[in-house]
Amino acid sequence: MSKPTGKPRSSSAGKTASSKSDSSAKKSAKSKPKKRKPAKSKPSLLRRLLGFTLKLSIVCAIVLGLWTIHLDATVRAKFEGKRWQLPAQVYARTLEMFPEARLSRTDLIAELRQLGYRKVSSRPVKAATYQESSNWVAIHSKAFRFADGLQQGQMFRIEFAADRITRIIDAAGGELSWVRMEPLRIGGIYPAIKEDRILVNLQQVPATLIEALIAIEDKDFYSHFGISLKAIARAFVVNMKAGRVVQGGSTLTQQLVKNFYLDQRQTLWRKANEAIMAMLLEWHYSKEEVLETYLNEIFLGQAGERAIHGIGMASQFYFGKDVESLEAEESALLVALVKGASYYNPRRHPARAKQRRDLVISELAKSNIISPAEADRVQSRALGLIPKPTFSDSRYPAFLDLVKRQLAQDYRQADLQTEGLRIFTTLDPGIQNAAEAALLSTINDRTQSKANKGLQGALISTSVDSGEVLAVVGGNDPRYAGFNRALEADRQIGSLIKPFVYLTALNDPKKYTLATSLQDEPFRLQFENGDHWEPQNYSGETVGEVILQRALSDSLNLATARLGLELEVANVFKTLRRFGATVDVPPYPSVLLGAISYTPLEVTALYQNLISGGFQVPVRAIRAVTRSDGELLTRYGFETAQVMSQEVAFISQYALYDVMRNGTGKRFYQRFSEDYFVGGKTGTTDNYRDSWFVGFNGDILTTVWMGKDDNQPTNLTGASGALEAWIRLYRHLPKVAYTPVTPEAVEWAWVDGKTGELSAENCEGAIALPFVDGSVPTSRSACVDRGNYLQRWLRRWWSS
Amino acid sequence: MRNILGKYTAVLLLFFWLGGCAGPHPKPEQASTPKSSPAVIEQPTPVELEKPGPAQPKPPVVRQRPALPPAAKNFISQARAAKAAGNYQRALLLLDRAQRVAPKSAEVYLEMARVQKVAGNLTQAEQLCLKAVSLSASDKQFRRVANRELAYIRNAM
Repeated sequence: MSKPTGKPRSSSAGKTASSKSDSSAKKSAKSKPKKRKPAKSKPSLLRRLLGFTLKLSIVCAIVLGLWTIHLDATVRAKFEGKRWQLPAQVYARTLEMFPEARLSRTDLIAELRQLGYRKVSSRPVKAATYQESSNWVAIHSKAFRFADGLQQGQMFRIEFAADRITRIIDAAGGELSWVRMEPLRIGGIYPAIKEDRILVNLQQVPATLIEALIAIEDKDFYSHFGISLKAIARAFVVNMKAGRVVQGGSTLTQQLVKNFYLDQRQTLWRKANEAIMAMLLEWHYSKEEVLETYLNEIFLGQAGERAIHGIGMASQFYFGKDVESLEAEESALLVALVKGASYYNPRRHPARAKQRRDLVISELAKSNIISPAEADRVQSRALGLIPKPTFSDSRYPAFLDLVKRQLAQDYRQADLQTEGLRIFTTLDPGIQNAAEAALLSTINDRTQSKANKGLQGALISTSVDSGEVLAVVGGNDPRYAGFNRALEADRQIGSLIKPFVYLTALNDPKKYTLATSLQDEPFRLQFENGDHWEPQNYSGETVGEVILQRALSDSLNLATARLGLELEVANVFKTLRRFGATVDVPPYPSVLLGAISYTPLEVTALYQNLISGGFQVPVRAIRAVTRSDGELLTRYGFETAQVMSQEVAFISQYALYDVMRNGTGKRFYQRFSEDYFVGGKTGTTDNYRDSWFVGFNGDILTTVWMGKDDNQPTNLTGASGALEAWIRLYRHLPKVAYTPVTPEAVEWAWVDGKTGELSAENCEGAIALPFVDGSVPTSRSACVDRGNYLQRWLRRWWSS
Repeated sequence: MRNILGKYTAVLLLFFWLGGCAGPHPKPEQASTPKSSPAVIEQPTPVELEKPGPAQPKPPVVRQRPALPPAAKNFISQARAAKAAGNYQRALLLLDRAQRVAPKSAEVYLEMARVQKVAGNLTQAEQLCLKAVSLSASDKQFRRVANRELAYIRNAM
């Protein structure tokens, strides 16, 4: 529409300029002979004035022409290039639902609320709504472009029994094998100018919103050519009557030009540029393109440092939903905010915002877009805002740190800040929230003691099988994007190293088994430089003869140190490196008791590999990255590499069960039933400076660290600090026992719990332990070596 | 020589005679893993379990691999279609989803290995195959299939 209107105007202006130049040239030619002869009389003043004006007009026309060309280039360059710097959008994991999946109705409803779904009392016929009953939830999901393709919204019903999904039924009554919800948006990666927007296209925008915008801001939008003389005249009259500026005459196109290309100064020069550029914009582009750009550009709110631009992001910011799902009153509120997002801020000035919103609704009724009855109904509704998102860059800054760190390996920062990439991560919001609560409540409880003043903590949870990071807590203020202890606190790990000392031994099953007898006796190492090393047990007591399994469960320093020295520290380092750790300290014997520093993330990576059945499983926080249009750029999938035999891995994992059952982690079973099998290891460093615990059930591995940033002592052991936070978290997680498949080449045997000699089920002090085939102890305990005289004689005779 | 043979014969006879009352040794595997007392634990599908002893609970001994849930079957069949169409990235994305549904199912890892093989990532294919073998438990037929795939991959390396 703009093109036919604009073209003749421009060409006629061109003709005028050209005809004036022709006549001027003719005049100049005629005047030549006159120069040779002296003038008889001077030209009149009027004629001279006319000549000057003419020349000035020519100069002005040329300048204006050149300026217009410049503005035209500016308009086109920005409109045809990358219009906005689009921050990357970061999403949490996708909630996959299938029969038998562990998911409670309450957790599903919490997820739906976070996603901005609205509860309805009847069948959820509209997208982004749900209906709930005591044992089912019916959902109408939204369309979403996942990393593996677009999925249309659909209606389905999830049926539950005892915190498990039993059936999924589609709208036609058929059973589905799976469904999934779109992921929750958890943050973005922003450039220095923090404009946040989610691009939308016109097809996504509800008609009511567009109609309301045009009715309120620019009634003649579809008929003007960029500027509206009618609107200017109308505004002039209204303003004259009011004696002040109460109405602007700007079209939507002018508003777009002002926001998109110019600054906010109210000068005549800027207004003139705005008018020319508005006309140029309409000359080159369609009304639809202008409107779509306007809807994506408009400023609609502020969230801390982030400016909320465009209706896509505003829908999320105010209503927690996609633009397609906006109700009429929500559309009207967004249109109301165009006039002044700060002045009409609905969270700060709800009454003012509602008044303006209702005015927009009345205008819709006046324009016959909705009926008066409908307008009354819509006006009676509340603003329907969600609580203001409290995040700056992300609600989960510690997790986002990890995401950025992994992205930095493949993507330039500039691309992450400007290309609108979509990052699909592994964060589980439910587990993250439970992890934050568990860690914070434990820190709060423990800081009641003076010795623990200034206590900090960190936590990381991963999926046992895939290595996906489910939660990261970086300190006791999880919303604060500061020092991220989960990734950066490099702390001594204490006894967390012991499983790797024992693993080094168990890797030689001919020599070492869980039943191998060790000596827990004091010793002193004298070094050449005169230093000496004389470790002690935490209890200050010694146990004497002890089997390897029990030495690990009770975290005995003397037995471990002796074993490590026998194996050689360098070989323990080899094991650590094989499990993915960087070792950059000299092979001092004290390392055998944990005088080596790692971050909670590095500890998690070590243990992840330890419990993955002999296969290394890298810890990862991202699943995939796509372009803004959904094209897959990078898949970060499951990768693995075998690092030790399946049998040795199984036996090492078993050793960690016993820590929880009989060793330093046994407080766990004061609160959980005996058939809930979990494994773990505590860690405490000198003077109680660090309290560590790493533990796992069948699904989730979690590392917890507690200590002070200034490395001062606390009064916490691994069991009284970190393990307590771990227990509090696992109270909220599904109780999935850890029951790995027993390798064929592993056999079980009863041995004496003290000596490690072969025993029997009914013998006192006997325990069952797993052994690599052929490594079951051969020496028998007295209990086994029983029988009648003839049997004993035969045995002696046979072995002679 | 005759002396040694005599010793063997005497011992064999005596052990047959004493076998029934020889006490709890020397086959701890049999004594400690009574198959007659299966327990039920939380798994995607019921699996046969053995517990080593009554003294205190020990981790259940799982010898059978879990069956594949329908959702994972669905993803695997979609992944096969994507692989056949040459869209290996999509196939692997679908198998990642299958893994999340059934993380302890050997089939998922074997299928991942097959996609990585055709995509030319033979080292990763080999490792995934080893993972599948490690989860095959007592399913000898599956292990044969996985080992055959492993041999193909190693031949191609």
